[in-house]
Amino acid sequence: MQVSTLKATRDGGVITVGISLPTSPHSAAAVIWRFSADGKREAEVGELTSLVPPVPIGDAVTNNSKKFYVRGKVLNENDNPPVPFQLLVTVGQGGKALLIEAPTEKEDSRIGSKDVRFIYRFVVEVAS
Amino acid sequence: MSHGRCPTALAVLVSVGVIGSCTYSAWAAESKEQQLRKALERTLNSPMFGVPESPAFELLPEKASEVVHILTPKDFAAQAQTWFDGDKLKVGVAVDARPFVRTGGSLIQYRSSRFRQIAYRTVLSVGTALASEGSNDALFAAGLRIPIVNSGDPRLDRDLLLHMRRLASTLVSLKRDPPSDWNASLGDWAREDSLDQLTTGGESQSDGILRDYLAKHWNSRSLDIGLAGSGLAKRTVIARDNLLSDRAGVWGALGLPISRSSQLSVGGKFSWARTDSSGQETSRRSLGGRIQSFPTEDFSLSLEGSKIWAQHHGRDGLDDNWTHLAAGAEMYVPELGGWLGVTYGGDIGRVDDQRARIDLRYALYRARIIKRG
Repeated sequence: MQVSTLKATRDGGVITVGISLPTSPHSAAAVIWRFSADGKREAEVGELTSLVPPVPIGDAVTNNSKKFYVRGKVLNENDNPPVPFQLLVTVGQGGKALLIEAPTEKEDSRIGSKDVRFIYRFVVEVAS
Repeated sequence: MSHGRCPTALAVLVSVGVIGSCTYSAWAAESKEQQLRKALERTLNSPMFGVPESPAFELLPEKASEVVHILTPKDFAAQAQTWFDGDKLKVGVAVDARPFVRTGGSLIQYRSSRFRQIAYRTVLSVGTALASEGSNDALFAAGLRIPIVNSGDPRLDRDLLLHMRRLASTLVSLKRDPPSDWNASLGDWAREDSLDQLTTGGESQSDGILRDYLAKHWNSRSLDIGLAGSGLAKRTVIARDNLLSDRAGVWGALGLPISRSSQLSVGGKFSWARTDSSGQETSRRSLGGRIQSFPTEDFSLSLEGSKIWAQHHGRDGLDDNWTHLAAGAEMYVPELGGWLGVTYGGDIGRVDDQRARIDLRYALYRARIIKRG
């Protein structure tokens, strides 16, 4: 299970999350849920699409030790034959990207006539 | 199931009477049904008005049952190694790929560049087959399909409205089913989703929006080009002395909407074949147009005309040209669970085929012939 760690700073500004497909003519949508440090679901904190900039999910102090679960879909464009795609999740603070990663938990690395589900998890750690 | 060929339009009425007395057991005559359907297909000559999905496979005597989709140059290199056994070419290879998929860029970049669209949509196909049954020689073919214009491409929807609607509906469905716990996997999610989709026939709302869009734009402007060439490897050996050119083909097709339910297609094709003996057909050119109309989902019409020129090796006297004209209608008969097709047409002025003439044909079959696109 892929779980990334965002090393945030107390005064670094708001944490943001975005998804993008910089080299694939596709779009994607995802929802972020916040979980407590012991794994209980607390709230839905954001909606992401690849057509809008990253969205804020709160400051670093409030989110310290919190877990974030991104669940989304890359939408198919009825491609035949199927094509590869590159999906990136960007997690940043204060407008600066700190994590830019491709989710490894996804149904397929190619897309044809069926949407592709993906999951990405990260934990926020504020440096003391 | 029923019937074949008759001289007058009266036969249509007679055939309807025959259909009325048909029973489902008649479907058992599979080969007969297929033969009659093929005869109607030949009259309508549909392949003439489009570019084959995979031009390379058109030049091979047998189409492979399964086509391998290659994604990256690395996949291609790995696949290519499996096509050879030493210096011998293996038969039964069938692959396709989008060689310029990297040029697509992001959705926004793709939408703003005609070059990116053409390059991204281009499909390369490669295949091999035995030259003929029992032969020691292998044929190999490669081809490109280049969709130059495709106004029905969902990526080019007006102001991204299609994408916005699909993204919004996807977000709604994602929010409806939050992850049950932090460790919830893709498998857990897929199971929850499939339960949800039982109520929608296995289709998400986003898929439904895309399907509707594609159905509405089936006859959008399109311009396609196809190119393919094939060679023959004697005794399947890949060596300079064993290789011969075999066939080549060029296709062009233009599609234009003439109403919501109708389309005009103009198509041209040139094919060339290596010939060893005098009198064999060495090249064929054809040019024609077709109007297809689908007033309802269960009723369709087709009207077409084309001109064909055939040339022969060393025997100019055998060269021929003729006109192909055809009209066809197809109607779904729910009581029989199949289609009733009627065509009127054939070849005019063809000297090499005494059977070629204008005929009325009709048949009942399960898979429709007149299709969109």
